[in-house]
Amino acid sequence: MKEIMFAGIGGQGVILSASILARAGILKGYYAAQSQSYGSESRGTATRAEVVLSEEFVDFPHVEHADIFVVMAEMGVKLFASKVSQEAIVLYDNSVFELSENIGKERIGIPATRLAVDTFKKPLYANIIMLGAMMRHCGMVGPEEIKTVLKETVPSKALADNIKALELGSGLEY
Amino acid sequence: MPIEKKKTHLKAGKYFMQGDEACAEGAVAAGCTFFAGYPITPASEIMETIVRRFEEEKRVFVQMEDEIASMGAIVGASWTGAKSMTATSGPGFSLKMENLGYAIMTETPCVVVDVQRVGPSTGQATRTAQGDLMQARWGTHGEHTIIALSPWSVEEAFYETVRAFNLAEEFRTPVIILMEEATGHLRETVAVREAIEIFNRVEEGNGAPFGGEEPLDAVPPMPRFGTGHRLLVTGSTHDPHGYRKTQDRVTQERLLSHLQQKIEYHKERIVQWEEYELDDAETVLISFGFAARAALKAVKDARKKGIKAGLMRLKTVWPMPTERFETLAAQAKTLIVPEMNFGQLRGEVQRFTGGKKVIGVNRADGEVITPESILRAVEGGTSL
Repeated sequence: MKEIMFAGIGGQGVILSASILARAGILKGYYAAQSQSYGSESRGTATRAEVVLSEEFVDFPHVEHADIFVVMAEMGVKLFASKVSQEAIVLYDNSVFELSENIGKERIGIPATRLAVDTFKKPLYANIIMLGAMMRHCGMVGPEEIKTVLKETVPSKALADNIKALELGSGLEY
Repeated sequence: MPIEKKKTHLKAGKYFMQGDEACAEGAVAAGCTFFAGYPITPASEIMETIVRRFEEEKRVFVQMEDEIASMGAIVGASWTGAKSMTATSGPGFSLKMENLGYAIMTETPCVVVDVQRVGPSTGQATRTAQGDLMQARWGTHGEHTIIALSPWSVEEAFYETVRAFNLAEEFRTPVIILMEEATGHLRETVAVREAIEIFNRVEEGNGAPFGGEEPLDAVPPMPRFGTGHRLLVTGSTHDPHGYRKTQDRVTQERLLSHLQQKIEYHKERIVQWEEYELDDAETVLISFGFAARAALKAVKDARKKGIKAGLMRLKTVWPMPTERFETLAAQAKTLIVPEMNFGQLRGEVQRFTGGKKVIGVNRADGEVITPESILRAVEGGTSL
């Protein structure tokens, strides 16, 4: 079983990332649970999304101690650090903020927003870049499942860029 | 027989969906043909799914001007023979109360979903709670009884919605589905079976269309409007033919007894719960809905530490399996009720423990109750 937590600001697409991951997990035959916590406003408030992937039904479907923490905004670190396991891998967008907290076991900076702006001229795909990086560390789902879900999820004209963003994130050397 | 075995509209198999969606799909499967509602977080996705599904299935959806009207609309629709439903959350649930009482008094089958969020008032729209347990029971005025179900997973949101419709049809009463935001917005694996059992109301039969005749617990037939019956439907006290009897003591007494007995005398058909590791349990947890999932995890964690803990999980929250509370209270050294409010279920359990103190694990800050906090209470409880 793996517990994965995504955090950011409303509008960054963290819930979408979590939902894609969960559905990719389903394609692999896992039990998946995905939940989220967000504000009433559609943008700008702290947002958290959680995924639990497991071989079998999970009694408690929320993250208790995240094995992987993907964080795209600094306020997400302070708010949700208590739900991160001491053994966790923390992936954070180091083009947006520097991680000063000593959370998890391994902390890896992914310049997702800068990469998105450089490649696509907009920060829009930063969440998918982070998802790609996460995929490498999660080990439970691969690019094939995620691409299948992307095909079902994103508008066809945006598919190529989404796949490129996924590959950017998963192919990074760090 | 009014029971029908029916293929579900969804192909048997595994699905990944939200609790709200599963509830809507359950309604479609159960044969719901009329939905009236007004959008509200965190129940809007039920309506959203219904809109999409009803268009495909050629059923009737109406977005009403508010929740009061939505509740009125489903009562009216039910009298035309439709299986009807509305869905809302806290503030909207409060508005439904007046016509919910009307549905109880007029013995109108219908399903009301409350996806609980933080209150009182508008509270926090996107945050979860279990603060409406007592409102479901007593929110509408006057002596009455009610059926309320509490699904704990997305899969159960599907099947308990089917059961809600069946109970509404069988007992001619509104049935409340009490979900939490935590389940309504949870996406989870759902296994849909090939076929489900559907109960269709008895429309034609011997006797008058309302209760009050012997035996008092019998559910009267419910003819629909437009089939030749002279139907009088009123929220005022009425005799079995629907005539208003607003000053008659005996009619009121018989009507009230009927409304209570048709449910309370048939609890075995209504009340469902599940038990986990209770056989040798010394620490007994009683919970419902999403909180019960945290409680089950806590029970399993406690067992790993050698603590004899077990869980009773209510699927039907109203009426409650009070006889089982009594036997469990006799068995348990420690009784713990975890819930996402300040002790609404605990108070109910406490009435049936013969004086044995019930410990509450409570959370009402909008976040879900955690297995960790429940485990702490279990560990503390057993060392007393």
